[in-house]
Amino acid sequence: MKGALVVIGCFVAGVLLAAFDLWPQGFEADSLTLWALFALLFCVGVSVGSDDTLRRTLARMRPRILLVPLSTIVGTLLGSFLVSFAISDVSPTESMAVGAGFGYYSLSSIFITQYKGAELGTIALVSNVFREIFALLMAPLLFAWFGRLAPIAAGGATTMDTTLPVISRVCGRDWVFVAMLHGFAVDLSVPFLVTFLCAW
Amino acid sequence: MFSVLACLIAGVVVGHFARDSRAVRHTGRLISFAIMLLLFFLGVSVGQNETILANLSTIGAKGVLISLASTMGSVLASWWVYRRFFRELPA
Repeated sequence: MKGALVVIGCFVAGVLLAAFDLWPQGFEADSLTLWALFALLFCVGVSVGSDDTLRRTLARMRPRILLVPLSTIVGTLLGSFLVSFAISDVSPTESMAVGAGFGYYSLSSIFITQYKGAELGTIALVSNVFREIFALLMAPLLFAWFGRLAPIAAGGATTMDTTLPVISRVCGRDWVFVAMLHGFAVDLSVPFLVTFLCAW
Repeated sequence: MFSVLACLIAGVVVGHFARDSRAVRHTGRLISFAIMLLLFFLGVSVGQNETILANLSTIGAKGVLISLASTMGSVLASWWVYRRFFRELPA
């Protein structure tokens, strides 16, 4: 709980600093984020590479791994389809297109803005940023309530990069490769699914 | 995407050859620090975006609803898959 509060605090501090113009204007947060991400990925790689039990686990469960991204995609589309009936001015396919960002907010919001306009694009941005934050913060609870795959499913397309460290901590290092393959597969599906659902 | 994979693979290679070194034991703390840093920057980019800030109440509510529904949809689907296909694996 203390860890989650520290993490929320970091996020809120960033929002407040930028919103009240206390963050230097010319300072590009995007490039810093990228370098922090690279450092993070390297560290995750080190913790994976120094672990010996990983290879055995991977050899044992290879064919079933593909069920993980498949269930994430099907579950997301079902959930976003159903919730569209509770939201005004958002059609079922529009809602599914937003859901099909799977946390990949930069790509999906650009795609959706192009196909459906800025409002749905902004909804997609908020929705997919929220998914990433939700996956980061709720990983321990999802693990406790819905099993070892739940933090990976929640992470969507981000399990290859931003949520990978949290998953390796919560689910264990053995599941890092599952999370990476999952993130890779879901990542690849984003442009195809979003384009298809917007054109529908 | 390729730089992402390159960073991971470089880390795996370094970690594999340095697995007996004492420095490797501190990667967990470094990972926690990088997560905090990334979330701070995520906050900065949200705070810098005027469009998100101005319409956060209505647009945000819709986004959060769709987000929760899609996330829980995939969580429930993964729960079923886990119980059906993965449960017998060691923890």
